[in-house]
Amino acid sequence: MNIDTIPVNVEFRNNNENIVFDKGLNIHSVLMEIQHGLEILCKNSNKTMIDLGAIPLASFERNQLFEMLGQGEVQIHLSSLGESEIYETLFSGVWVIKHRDEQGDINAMFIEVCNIPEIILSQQEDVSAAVTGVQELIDSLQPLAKLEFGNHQF
Amino acid sequence: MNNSMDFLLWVKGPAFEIALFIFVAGILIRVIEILLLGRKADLSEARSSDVRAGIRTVLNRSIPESGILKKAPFVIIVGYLWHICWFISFFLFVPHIEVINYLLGISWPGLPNQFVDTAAVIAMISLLAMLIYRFNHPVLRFISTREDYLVWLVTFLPLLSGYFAFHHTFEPYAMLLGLHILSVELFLVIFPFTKLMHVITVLMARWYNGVSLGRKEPENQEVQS
Amino acid sequence: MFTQDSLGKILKSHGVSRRGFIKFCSTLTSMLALHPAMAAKVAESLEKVQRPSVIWLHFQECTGCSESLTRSHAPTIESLIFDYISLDYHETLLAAAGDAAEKAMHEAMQAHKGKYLLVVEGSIPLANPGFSTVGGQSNLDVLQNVAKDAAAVIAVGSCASFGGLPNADPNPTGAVSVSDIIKDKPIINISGCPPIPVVITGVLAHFLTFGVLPELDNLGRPKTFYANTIHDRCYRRPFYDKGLFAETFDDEGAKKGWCLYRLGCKGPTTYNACATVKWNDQTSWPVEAGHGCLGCSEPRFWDGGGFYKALSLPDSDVRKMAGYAVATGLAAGAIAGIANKIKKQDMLKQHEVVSVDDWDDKS
Repeated sequence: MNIDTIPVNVEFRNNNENIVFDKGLNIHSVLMEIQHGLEILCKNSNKTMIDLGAIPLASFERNQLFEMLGQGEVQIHLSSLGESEIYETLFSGVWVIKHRDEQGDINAMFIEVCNIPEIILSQQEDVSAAVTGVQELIDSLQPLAKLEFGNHQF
Repeated sequence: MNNSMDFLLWVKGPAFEIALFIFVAGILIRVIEILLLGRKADLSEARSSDVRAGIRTVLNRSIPESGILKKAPFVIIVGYLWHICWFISFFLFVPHIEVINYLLGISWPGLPNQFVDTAAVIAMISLLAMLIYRFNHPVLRFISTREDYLVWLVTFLPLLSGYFAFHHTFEPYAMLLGLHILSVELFLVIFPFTKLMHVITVLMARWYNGVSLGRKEPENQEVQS
Repeated sequence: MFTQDSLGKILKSHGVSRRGFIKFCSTLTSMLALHPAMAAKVAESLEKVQRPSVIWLHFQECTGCSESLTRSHAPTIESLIFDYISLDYHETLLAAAGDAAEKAMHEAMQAHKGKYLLVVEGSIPLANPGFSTVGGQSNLDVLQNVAKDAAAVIAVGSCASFGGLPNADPNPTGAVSVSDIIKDKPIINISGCPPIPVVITGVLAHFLTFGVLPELDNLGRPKTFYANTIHDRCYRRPFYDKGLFAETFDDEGAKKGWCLYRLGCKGPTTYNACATVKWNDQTSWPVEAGHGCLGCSEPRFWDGGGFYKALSLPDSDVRKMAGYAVATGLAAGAIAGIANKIKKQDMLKQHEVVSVDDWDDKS
């Protein structure tokens, strides 16, 4: 089989097609920062975090930014103290993180330029707790004989 | 007065009342005094309308005399630049129009802020240029009095403080706005008693000259007056 | 009653994972307007620090600030912070009443001497101690008493920060702010009528995270939230710059969302975070709702010369003053004119007819 026979679907939208680029400086400066973050990531694997709550972006500008970045291959759903939405954008290494509280209100929004957002990684403390948890699970298993004789009336 | 908001309220309240009082009363005193000095009645027969002749001189003396541009290019160019840019910064900035509308009940459209901002910068540069020119010109320096420098300063300060206030150059903004208004009040207070009075007397003088020359002109013939 | 659990433990008891704690910390970092990279430091600090005790006093006020704070429903970030701090005395939220409530306060003061946070809502009347009392004690006495052993005082709302409404002209109760009375403690002013809930909790969170109060501006307000004017962060700012203004609340300009300067918006002189933090879970804020900013987080905003009067306008009866000026000017001008006439006539009288011969004689 030749590599050319594999069908390739390029899902990259021309930005100029649907979106009128805002000439205000806000989106422009965020994009510059993302670009800078990507260069750093390429060079020495250091990550960059941008807090969208700290930048004067109107909500429509924020939505426009998300539109422009698009949605990539990975989408992650995190349920802890409310639902969080984490996904990679069309641009590899650029992640969008939206933290919601338990009412579904967005508390914080970040753009993280990294290989994988840290919050997705299993945390050492939780892993330790998991060791105990799985052990408890094992301990809770009933012996076979007891099961047979305990659950079934002969 | 322990904070900038108190200062702003004082400047917009009692201080403004005092400045307005001195400004209005001062101008009236000066104008009435000049008018009451009187002139000997011109017994010659008017060749044409006094009003027409008066207005004509008021207007056409705003246009530079032919040839003067070559003789004194700096004074003419910078002088015009200054007066036009000052006019734009003062009369075509929306917050200013709002004040005039509040005081006099008349209003007109303003210019976008970038234009006003540019005009203010040009006005300040031309004022500085004129000050430097005055220092370096031996005759001008000789005839300059303290009043001339005071008038320069009091005219410059509102522009500078207004520029700072518009750009939020320093914090807090209420203090900057207060200082701007205070500098304008200073301008209003000294206006009637200094050369700043020329804003009004220039019109009176031109009118008088126009009327006087109008009576001397040959009938049905326009005279360069 | 005075538990010494760390936040990590408290969250764990709520069934929150480490990942959840990290999420909490990054949200908190964003809320505190800190750089996202600080989240790790925030997490580290939060695990170490002990649960602070808070005493909340009410003086001359409307409880609007407490209302603002409690509008957010559990379990938001705000309520988590409230779970974390030990609110030992708050007259409106306290279950106990009378002597029991007083006892709770004194116990907290004893147990956390020199370490508790004192939150004050409302201004203090000085004209007569009887104007506002709690349990027979004047506000002034209570404040001085409780502030004595506090680590810091947080003045919540414009009344406690600057005197607020009770201090408005003519200030019948002689109302003053906390900082007018307490001079020897760190005081932080969280002004606003009411303040944004996130700003109140943000300051508490900052204190409990780092153990110190945040950096303050010249009016004692945290710079993280009060560094910018409403005008600077306003989404309608481009219209101001273009000179496009709404003239009335229902004209074309108002419908198109133009700048509200001419309708009296106090955004240019007002420092607050409304434009970015917004209200009611980031739903909206006054300017977005079509009304100009009242300037509620600035001192003496009630006496600012009218909510619907453009900021540049003079705040006085100019017509009356102009009338006086015209009358004075006319009268003085006339007097000066007459004086000049008399002088002229006197001088004319002194004229003598001279000839060339006289000149020769004299010289």
